[in-house]
Amino acid sequence: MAQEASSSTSSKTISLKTGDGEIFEIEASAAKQMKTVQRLIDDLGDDITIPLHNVFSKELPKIIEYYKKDITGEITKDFEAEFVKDLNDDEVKVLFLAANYLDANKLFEFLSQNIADRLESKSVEYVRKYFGVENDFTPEEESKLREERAWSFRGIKEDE
Amino acid sequence: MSLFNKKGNQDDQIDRISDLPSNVIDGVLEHLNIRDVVRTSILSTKWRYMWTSAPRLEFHPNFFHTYEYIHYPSPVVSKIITDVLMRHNGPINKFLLFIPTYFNFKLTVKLLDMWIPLLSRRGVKHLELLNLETALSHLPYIVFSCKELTKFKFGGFNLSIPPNFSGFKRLLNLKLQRVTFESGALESLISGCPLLEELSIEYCHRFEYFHISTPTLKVLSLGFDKNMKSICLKKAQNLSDLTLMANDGWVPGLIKSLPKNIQRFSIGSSFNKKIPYADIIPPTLVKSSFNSIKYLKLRAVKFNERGELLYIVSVLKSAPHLVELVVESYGHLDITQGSDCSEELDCSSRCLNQLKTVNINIYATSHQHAMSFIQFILANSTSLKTLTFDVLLDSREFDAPMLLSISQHLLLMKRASQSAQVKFIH
Repeated sequence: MAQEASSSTSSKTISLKTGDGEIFEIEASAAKQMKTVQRLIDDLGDDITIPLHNVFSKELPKIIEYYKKDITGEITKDFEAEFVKDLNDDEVKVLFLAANYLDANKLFEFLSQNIADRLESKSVEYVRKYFGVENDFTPEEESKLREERAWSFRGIKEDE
Repeated sequence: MSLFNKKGNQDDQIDRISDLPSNVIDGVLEHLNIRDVVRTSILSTKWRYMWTSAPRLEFHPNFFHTYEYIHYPSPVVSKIITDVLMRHNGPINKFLLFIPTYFNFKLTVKLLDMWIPLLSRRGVKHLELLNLETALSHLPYIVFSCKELTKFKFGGFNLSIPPNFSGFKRLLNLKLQRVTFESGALESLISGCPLLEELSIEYCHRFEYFHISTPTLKVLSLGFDKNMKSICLKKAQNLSDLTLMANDGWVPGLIKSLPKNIQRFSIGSSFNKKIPYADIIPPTLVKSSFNSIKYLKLRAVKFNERGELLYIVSVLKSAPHLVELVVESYGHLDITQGSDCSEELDCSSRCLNQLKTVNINIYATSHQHAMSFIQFILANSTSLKTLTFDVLLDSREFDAPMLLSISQHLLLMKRASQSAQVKFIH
């Protein structure tokens, strides 16, 4: 890529390299929306391939897809519904963690809401697995808490 | 550089939501409903108190619905809400209570005297108290001591202002729904909000005069019934976005004045009792206030009345900066009455130079009359980008040839703007 004298980024693309070695292109204006990427660009320059060792080739294309729509102002409720429609809970989680790592605020907010929707009324065990939490309550502590908070357990399908 | 050497699962990679910093976890907790949020306390000892910093506490109808089977849900429900508030630890940005209709739970003075000071101490900024259960009660005075509020919505109360009311000095956004006003209460409330920018009043009673002079107000949405006698807005100098909705139909001469620099204006009415637009927005009003309008929405337009159509055309001619127009007509017109629609409206004045977007939404019965209006728009809008003609069909009356002839007619109309797109939706 030829070096541009001016700092116009309107049609410039940035190369991103995932943790598993694949390279993807993204418009500079979309890269701006991901603060981590922008910081790396500021440090390393925009001609170099930016390494994202915590993001992988499975999820980065989806993230790029989201921000491609964002820079043209086309993100609608319908688009967001379609975007997550075929993803399972784990896939959304991976995207969410990637959005957090990339400091991609808009996507992060949207996925937070989606995760909250998916977890609605899910059992305690399911949420533990999802969040990656080990239960370290004693059986007595746990049953006491369950009793105190009985109202919050209404309508929950316990799946053990 | 170590950046280039790492791959795969490394120690510093956060691959579990539970390992995220707490402010990030707050981001997820924020969107969970109240039961799910509180239940996270049982995940592990680390999570036991994480929910206590969730910045939003919202009790929506679905929370209350689970207690519908109980005869006297009040003690149960109020105990839970109190428990949540007492255990919460940290700033509370938003607190919402939305009690659904017919739910036997009264927001008593006793309860709010307990909860509001707690919320106030936690710096609550956004408060919503919606009480749709049947019996109205006075909004307890304690609510008026929430000094930090920036957004306040309440509904289903009688409003009277405490004598020592010192105002909501930071309030920017106020919404009232189904409120009955004691004499002078609304005026006192509004004048106690020196920074108010957005005000919405819907389905309220004992509401006869609306004269406002709040200089900071930018957005106003007012819904009223047949008791409203006078609306005077010229002193709201910064008001740029106005919506007026007459639930019972308009009274002639209701609008005494409008702000000078209004940019968005939406007028609505219950269809059957609507009087002609010439009486709703008389010529003097149009002349003094429509010069700056960029967005105009007119509902319940009676297309089959030629006088109405001509008046609307004259209104459009007085709004040279109009960029977007929405016209709706969702009433059943008696099309046997009304004038012959074959007379054309003036198509030569090129008066709608800034108009870019037009939406015309009607019931199918009015379509013929709407066509001459569309013709007028197309012929006079030199900057038009899109005109959408959305016709709600009653399937008994319509068939393909009819729709085809409308499409063809639309295509044949002369257009002042070469790039104008006409969309016909049915």
